[in-house]
Amino acid sequence: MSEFTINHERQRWHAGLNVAAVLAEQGRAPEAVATALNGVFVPRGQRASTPIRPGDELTLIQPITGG
Amino acid sequence: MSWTLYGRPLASRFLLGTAGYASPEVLRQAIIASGSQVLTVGLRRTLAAAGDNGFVAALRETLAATGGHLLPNTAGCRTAQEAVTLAHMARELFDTTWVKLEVVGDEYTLQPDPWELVSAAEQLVKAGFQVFPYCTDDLVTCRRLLDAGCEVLMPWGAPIGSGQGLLNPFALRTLRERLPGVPLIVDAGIGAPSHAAQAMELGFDGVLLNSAVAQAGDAVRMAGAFAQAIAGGRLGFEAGVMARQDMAVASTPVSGRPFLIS
Repeated sequence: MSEFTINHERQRWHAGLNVAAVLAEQGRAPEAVATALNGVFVPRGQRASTPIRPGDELTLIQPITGG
Repeated sequence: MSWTLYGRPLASRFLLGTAGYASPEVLRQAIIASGSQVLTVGLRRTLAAAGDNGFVAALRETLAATGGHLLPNTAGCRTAQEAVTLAHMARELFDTTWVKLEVVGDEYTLQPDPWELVSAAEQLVKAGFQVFPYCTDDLVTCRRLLDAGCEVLMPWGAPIGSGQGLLNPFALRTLRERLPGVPLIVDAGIGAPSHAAQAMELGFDGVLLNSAVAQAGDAVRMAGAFAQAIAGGRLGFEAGVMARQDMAVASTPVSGRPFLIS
């Protein structure tokens, strides 16, 4: 079974996945997170055209308080 | 008393961190008490759709009311590449070109890594960011950061969260003397209002702190105390602190001795 990871947690991969599709499957509002694929920033406007392949690591980041 | 950071005019010289407060309401009140117009924020990995108990919403609402600015950080980054990626994510999430650049080189002290810091600063300036580098008090590193295009420097007073105050006033004084006209902000290590006043009396342009307020017995009152200390320290610097002398110099003019006994 092919897999990719989201924030280091394994996910089942299937053909046709892209970053925008993963966010939709996860129920995440597109504007609530920022995304990076294999350590490279994926701007909001490029998510739908950025495919996810087996073995990829998708990073989802959200705002928090900070010092 | 007004000043500017990357062209944005500010009245307050107090930059406040937003982490570790007891509740969103305490955070909101502390921001108001501080008078701060620049609030630092962070980013973290997430899986759950759950939020953060309303902290980010509270500070966004408070900022909307006060007209302040968000300053996202790259806390937790160990390499220039990590920091550059996180800065781009922060720019999208917070809709600002400002970034507090943190690239740590030692886990125990959280001391900035100067090589990775300068490399990240160069890349981010080229990408259109306005970089606030969290750095040590090393003069040459600070010069390299200016060469990279940083227009503000944020040297540490002491390790993050330690509350030790200004461990090396000589180095900070040297930075002030050797880098005239560069906005200098002491970031990290401040524990008490007197530490902040000392930094301002040295001629620093601002102070950034978080734990000293968030961990105070009464965060809201402490935010007000720091606001007064920072304003007082700046006023003292502008007024010109008297020169130190080793020996006493009588302040009351006298002629001879007032009483002759025997």
